[in-house]
Parts: sequence; C-alpha cells; structure tokens
Amino acid sequence: MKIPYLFIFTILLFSCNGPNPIVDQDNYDRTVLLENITKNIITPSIESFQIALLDLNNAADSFNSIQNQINFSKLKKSWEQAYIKWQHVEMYEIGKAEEMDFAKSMNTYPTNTTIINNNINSAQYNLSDATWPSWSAQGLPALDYMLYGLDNDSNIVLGYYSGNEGSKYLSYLNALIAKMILNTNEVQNYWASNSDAFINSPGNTANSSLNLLTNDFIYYFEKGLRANKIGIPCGRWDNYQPYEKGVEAYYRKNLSKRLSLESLNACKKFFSGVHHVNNQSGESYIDYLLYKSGNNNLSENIINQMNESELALENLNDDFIQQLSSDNLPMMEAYDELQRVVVLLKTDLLINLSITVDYVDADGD
Amino acid sequence: MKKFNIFNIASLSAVIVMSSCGTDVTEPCTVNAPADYSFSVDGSSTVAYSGQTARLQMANELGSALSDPATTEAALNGMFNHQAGGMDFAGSGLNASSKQIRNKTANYSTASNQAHIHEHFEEWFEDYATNVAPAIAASTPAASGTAGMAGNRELSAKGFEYDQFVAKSLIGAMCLDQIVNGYLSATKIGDAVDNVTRDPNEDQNATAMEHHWDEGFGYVYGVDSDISTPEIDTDGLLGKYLNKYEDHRATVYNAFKIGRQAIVDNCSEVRDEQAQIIKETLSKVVALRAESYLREAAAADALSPDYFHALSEGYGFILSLQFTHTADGTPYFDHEAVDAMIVSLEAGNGFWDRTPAELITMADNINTVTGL
Repeated sequence: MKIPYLFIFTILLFSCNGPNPIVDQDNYDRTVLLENITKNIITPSIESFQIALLDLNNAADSFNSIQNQINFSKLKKSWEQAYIKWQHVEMYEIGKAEEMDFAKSMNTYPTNTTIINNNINSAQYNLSDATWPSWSAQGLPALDYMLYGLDNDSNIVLGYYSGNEGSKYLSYLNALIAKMILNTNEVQNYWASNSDAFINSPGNTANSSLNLLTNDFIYYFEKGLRANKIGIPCGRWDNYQPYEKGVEAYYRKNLSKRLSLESLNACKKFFSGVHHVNNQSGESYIDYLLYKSGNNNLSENIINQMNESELALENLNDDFIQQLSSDNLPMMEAYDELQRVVVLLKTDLLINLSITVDYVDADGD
Repeated sequence: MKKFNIFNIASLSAVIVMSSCGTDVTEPCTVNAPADYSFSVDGSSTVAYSGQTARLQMANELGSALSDPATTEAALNGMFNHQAGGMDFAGSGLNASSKQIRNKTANYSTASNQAHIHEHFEEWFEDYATNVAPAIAASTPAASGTAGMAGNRELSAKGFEYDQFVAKSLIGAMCLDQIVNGYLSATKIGDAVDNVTRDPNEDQNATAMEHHWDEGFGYVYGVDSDISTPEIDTDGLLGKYLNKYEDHRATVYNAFKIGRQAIVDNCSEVRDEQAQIIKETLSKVVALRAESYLREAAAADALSPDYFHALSEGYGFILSLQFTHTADGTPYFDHEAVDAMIVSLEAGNGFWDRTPAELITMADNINTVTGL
C-alpha cells in the first residue's frame, strides 16, 4: 500500500508539461539493435525457412517420380521441418511480406478442405488471389490436409496420389509448394536489398523501423501465437467451446504443441536478441530497456512470464486435439499465461520505449 | 501476485516520469475541464458510446426476462450470448446490434475464471427457466427447497432471486470490469495508444485514446438521459448505484470530465490520476453495496420477501467484488475469495439456511478489507 503513494508523490514533484509524451526521441542508437535483429535474426530465419522449402521441393520431386511410402514419408517429414522453421518467420510482416500478405498465404488455418477439393478436381484456381478463400486453400495448412487429411489411413492417402486421379493431386501439391517458394523468395529478396535501409532508420515515428518491428512482434504474439494457436482452439471467444479444427496442423495431429513452443521460442529469441543460427546474444530490447530505465526489471518480467508460458505449454498434450477433448482447462491456463505476456508487451514495453500501438483490437466495442 | 502488481505499477509510473520529462523539469500540466462532458472537434462532438448503451439496454431486458414466467432457457441464453440478427430483444436496434453481454462479462479475468463466472450465469438461466418460471406460473408458494413466490419475489428452491443475481453481478463483471480493467487501463489509454489520428468515419472523429475513455464513460452513463449533469436517472446497473452516493457521483463525473480533457491536452499525469480516481470510487460503490445489502438482509424479518431480495442483491455485489480496483491495483477480494463467500451463501438450502449472524460476520469481513 505504501509504494503507490510514494509514486504519486514522485509524479507531483517531477511531472512536467509535454504536449505529446509519446514522440520523444532519445540518444540510444537504434541502428545497433536493428542491425542485430535484421542480420542475425530476421534474415537467417527466412533463409532457413527457404532451405527447408527447397528440401520440401526435392522431396516432392522424388514423390512425383515414384509414389511409394518411403518417398511419401520423406515428403511429410520435410513438410514438418518447414512448418517448424516457419514459426520463426511469421512475425515479420514488414515490407514485401506485408504487401503480399505473406503470413496469410502461408499459414491460414483451419484450411478450407472444400475449396481445396474443388481446386484439385477442377484444376482451376488462382493462388495469387489476395482473398480468404484463396489463402485458406494454400500454404502449410493446405499441405497438412493434402498429406494427412485426405484419409485417416496413410496408405489410402498415398493411394490418392498413385491412383487414377493421381496427377490431379500431384499437380495441386506441386502448385502449393511452388507458390510457397515463390512467396518466400520474394520476401527473402526484399530483405536482401532493403536490410541496410531498414537498419538505417534511427527515428521514432510510426514508420520508423523499430516502431514497425516492435508492433509486428507484439501483434504476432497476440494474434499469431496467443489467439490462433491457443485462444481460438480453447474457445476463448466462443464460450470456451473447444474448437478442434482450429488447432494448427490439425490433420498431422501431434505437432501442435511443438509448433507453439517453437513460436514462443522465436519470440523469446527475438526479444533477447539471440541469433537464429548459433544462439549467440547480440544487442536487444533488453539493452534498450536498460538504457531507458536504468534497470532490467521489465525485461526480467517479460522473460519470466515467457518462461511461465512455456511451462504452461509444456504441460499440454503433444496433440492439442487430445488436450481439448480430455480437459480444456490447461489450454485456458496456457492462454492466461500468454495473455500476461501480451499485457507486459503492449503496455509496459511500448510505454517504456515510447512507441505507439499501430493496430487496433477488433474487440467489438 | 499482489506484490507483483504493485511493483509493476510503481516501475511503470516511474518510467513515465523519466521518459516524459527528460532533464527539462517544468510545471506539472494543468487541465481545465469543460462544464460538462462534451468534447468537440471542428464543432462536432467526438463523444460516442453506442456499444455501451446497447449492452446496458440488453442487460436491462435480460433482467426483465428473469421475472417473466414465460421465459425459456434458450431466450435467456440468446439475450446473454446475442449474435447480430438474432431475434432476442424487444428494444429498437438491439437485434441488429453486433454487441453482446457475454463476451464483455469478466472479459479481463483469466480464461479459467471467466469460464467459471459464465457457468454461474448459465446455471441461473437454466434453474430459472426450468424450475422458477413454472412455479411462478402455478403460483406455488416458495419454501425451503421449493421454488415459488414469496410476496412479489420470485425465488429458486434456494431462495435466489435471479434477476437480482444477474443485474448485480453484471455491475461488476461487465460495467466495472470493462472500465477498470479495460477502457481505463494502460492498454487502452496508456501513452502507447494513438492519441493523434482522427478519422471522421471512425469513432466519430475521436482519437483511439479519446474513444476508449468515452467507452468507459458509456458503461456508467450509457443510458442516462442527460449527461450534462452528474445525476444518472434511467440506469439499472452501475450508474444507478453510483447515483445513490452524491459525493461519489460528483467525484466520478468530474474525474471523467477532467481525464477526457487531459487526453485532449496530452497531459498523461492528470489522465492517469483521474482514471485512478474513477476506478477507486466506482469500486467503493460496489463494496459499499455488498456490505450494506448483507446488513439489510440480516436486519430484515427472517425469511421475509425483503430478506430474500436484499440478500439476492448482496450476492451479485459480492460476486462483483473481484472486479474492484484499489489504490494498488488489486481488487478488494480476488476470484477465490469471492468464490468462498458465494459458496458459503449457497451452502445447504441456500438463503433459507443463512442466519443474521453469518451475514453480519460476512459484512464485517468486507468492511475490514475495504475500510469504508
């Protein structure tokens, strides 16, 4: 009870007249932070994903030649690896990625099986349509359905590719992979040619690099991780009715926890400035916060709460579908832990860094 | 948890001071609030809270449906969980509205606590429709273990008057929660929120921060016929009870005015100080009612209609205590502590089994914590 009174006192003594406290500029060199994140985290993350997609493409080539169980398992394995690598990429919806709705085209789930089946059978589709019907029939979730969802029995799934209609299925499979590679190449090219300009943006305006990046990170944590992976499946906005179809990698089954943990790990590394490839630490938000506040309190709170979230995720069944049908409560508890991180990021972090939120909650006010 | 919050707030505020002042220590900003709650840009009012008004109206109809023997469980759930276009309400425009009570009930609680609170509402709807409504239709007299009428009060088998349960619980779980944990929290009005961009086609040309503040205002004044005065006339939820305390009523109205002007003037310190005043004052109103209804029930004739009515009101205000916000940002009682009180009120045959001594002890406990 004493501390708040103390702090009110502090405000009275030191508060001041500033027309808009949010647009303050400090002497911290944001380019050092931006350089570490861009060169050691964003770019290598995208490149690892790109390599995973090439592996996927090679596996698909073999599968195109011979549709047997060995090639089919290799294809599925490489899809799984790509999905894991993707967790490090989705949050950077900046520049080209934002322009082309990269995340939506790569990871809209639940995928729409009706549209996919129509596309397979009609062979008439446009994967470049920037619309939900198009996004929900392509990307990693569409492959999830193509590889695991055509039937519960993997031999029967394989039969779709080797049977009379096999060429239709192979053709759509190849089209999905080609589109993912094309999209990713464009994003990779963007970073290859724009990294320097992105880094050399020391300002604090809505369009400055760190403002965009920080907002994207928080948006991803809130929507991509908290809402999509946990909140929607546990029915957070639908009376806590478990929504199994909303689980990421729904058809693959027991990959969902792995993907959520990978996503959280990506967020932790981003915040802490840990390099994507060799786990070395570089300049990070922790350094900027230390500069701003003179201590590591907020950084520690954020990391601790991310660790709490990790424990809550670890506590879940490997297959969220199993978890939802046996006991939804641990899913809700994981949501709560992630939500606590969101609050820290969205209020404390942004206020400390004097960065304005650039997206609006669609919370139905 | 409590300590965590304290440190959190303290460190946050300290940083606001540092980052907004730098080395340039000048006068604190001062804010001159207008005479009433009216704020304009280019001659047009920027104040809008139609979503809050809609929800208050929906809650009002839900309350009425809980004293109507013709009500069904589906109708009650329809009102609580309204979807745009559903034919759930009589009030004009409410059926077309995309607003909903349920998704704003305990919305800032943890998911597990929110689900638990929603379960209470569902159980009340089910019991009312299944057991209370038919008993009223048949004019069954209420008795311990039997739903029916006690005077003009419609009681469940445990003596619960569900329209009171729902209305008084929503005072905390919807109105107060939305204000203190939602619209007047740092997420909605902190310095990271956009207070620059205006769009005549969006939120009546208010900035995001201004609009959030107005939406908080709307949960108190959303159905008031005249917002140019602190008095609140037609409300049945939080505003109705705030209105009963002249001093708190004036305090809250002034704080809403000053805080809104502070947002216009970009004066964060005053904004936050006024938000805190609003949160604490509204919380006091809820706590005072919880305590006073317990005492009223204890003083009423044993098992009289007035006793059941007062205790039913008290029950809802007690449930609401978990949404209060004190000086250090914690509620007077958290979810678990509130649950313990609710469980003891419901024990055995519920209100039929409570004694004045139990109720007074509970009122005293509340008073010890609140110090009001």
